[in-house]
Amino acid sequence: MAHHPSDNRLILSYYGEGRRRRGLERHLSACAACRARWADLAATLSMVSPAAPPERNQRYGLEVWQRVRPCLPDAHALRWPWAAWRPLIAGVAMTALVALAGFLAGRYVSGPTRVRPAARDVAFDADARARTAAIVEHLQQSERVLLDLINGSDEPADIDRELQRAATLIESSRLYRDAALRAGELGVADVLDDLERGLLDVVHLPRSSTSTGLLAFRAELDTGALLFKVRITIDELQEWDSTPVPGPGTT
Amino acid sequence: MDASDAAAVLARARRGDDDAFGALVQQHSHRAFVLALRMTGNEQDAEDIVQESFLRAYRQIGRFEARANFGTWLYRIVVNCAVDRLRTRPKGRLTGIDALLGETAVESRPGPDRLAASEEIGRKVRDALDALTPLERAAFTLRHYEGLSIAEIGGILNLGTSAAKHGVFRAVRKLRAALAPLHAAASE
Repeated sequence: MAHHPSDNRLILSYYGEGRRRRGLERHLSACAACRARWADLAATLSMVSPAAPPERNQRYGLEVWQRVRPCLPDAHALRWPWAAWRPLIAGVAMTALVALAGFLAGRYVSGPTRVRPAARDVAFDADARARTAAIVEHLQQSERVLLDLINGSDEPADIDRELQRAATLIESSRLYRDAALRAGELGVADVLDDLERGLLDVVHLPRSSTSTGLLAFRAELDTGALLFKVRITIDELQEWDSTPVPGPGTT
Repeated sequence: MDASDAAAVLARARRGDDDAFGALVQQHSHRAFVLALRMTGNEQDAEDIVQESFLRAYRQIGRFEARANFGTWLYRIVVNCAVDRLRTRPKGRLTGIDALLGETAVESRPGPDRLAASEEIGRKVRDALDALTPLERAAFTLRHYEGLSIAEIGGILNLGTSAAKHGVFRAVRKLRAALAPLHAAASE
């Protein structure tokens, strides 16, 4: 091997990963300087040796369960989150039923109702869920790009792929923001607006940016609220999306 | 608990059976605790993280895909809880690498006797680990202590392989910088 292995390659090799490990071993056996680097790395990492797991008795799992159990939210409420509103919903439903009965009584003679409210609600709900699923997927992709950028290589030349991925997300971010606005989901639209600006910043990061410039930009992204907002929005939308659609018999 | 029992317990837990969820808690508590402790270096924090993780798992278990591995899924939750905890934890007096190196430089060079004291080394190691960013610490813990592959770490931290790899690289680089004076003195 003509070139000395990089520190990163030595680290991967220390952990049993990386390609061409045979070649590296041959190089280490022939190169005293790299052997010394390897020994230095191994000595340092051995200082951070895995400590023996702290003792916990056989009943530890049970003790944790006893601590967790009283804090569990009501499973019924989790799966049927509107259960607590049931009396109110029942009241509203009853009023609506009376109003509907009156309406149908007046209209029935002129033929069947053209638009069935229940069917329209289901279609509306399906639209909202499809939009939510698409926005969640978009936010997850964006989160991944931002995380990869924050945690990727320190060399600007190595982040081309992340920049390209960010560029492809900008247009869809704009479309989803408009869709959220039309649906009256102002909070989601705000986050998508911030995200679009963040992605634009990423894409316009100068390719000639020095390592220091990249690190500063990365620190700003990491400490800024954007990632946090994106994560919270994903959680909230998923939470909403996982609530079951009320069936026709649900009150 | 064999594989079919485990699958049945998991299925029951996903349907809202608290006793089945309790069985999962009892089965995975110790491993979750060890991971949380390695991530935070603090026993009380680790206990809190274990509890918070199981509560999150309970709330989200409906979204858990039955084909996936519950342990891996729970690991992800524990790591996320630990990362959140590390982000909000106030930094101690000696948490930055600079501070650590500064102190080492100001001190008279520690002698072999002092270096031999594992407590001192342990303290320096803890300080160096505390100086890592939460994601660096997560990546390093999962690689160094838990023995997970880079690809598995990427999966747990929701990072690409390259980002997971560089998280480990940066952590090792910082640890080497922080611990080099100890290592150099010990080898003299």
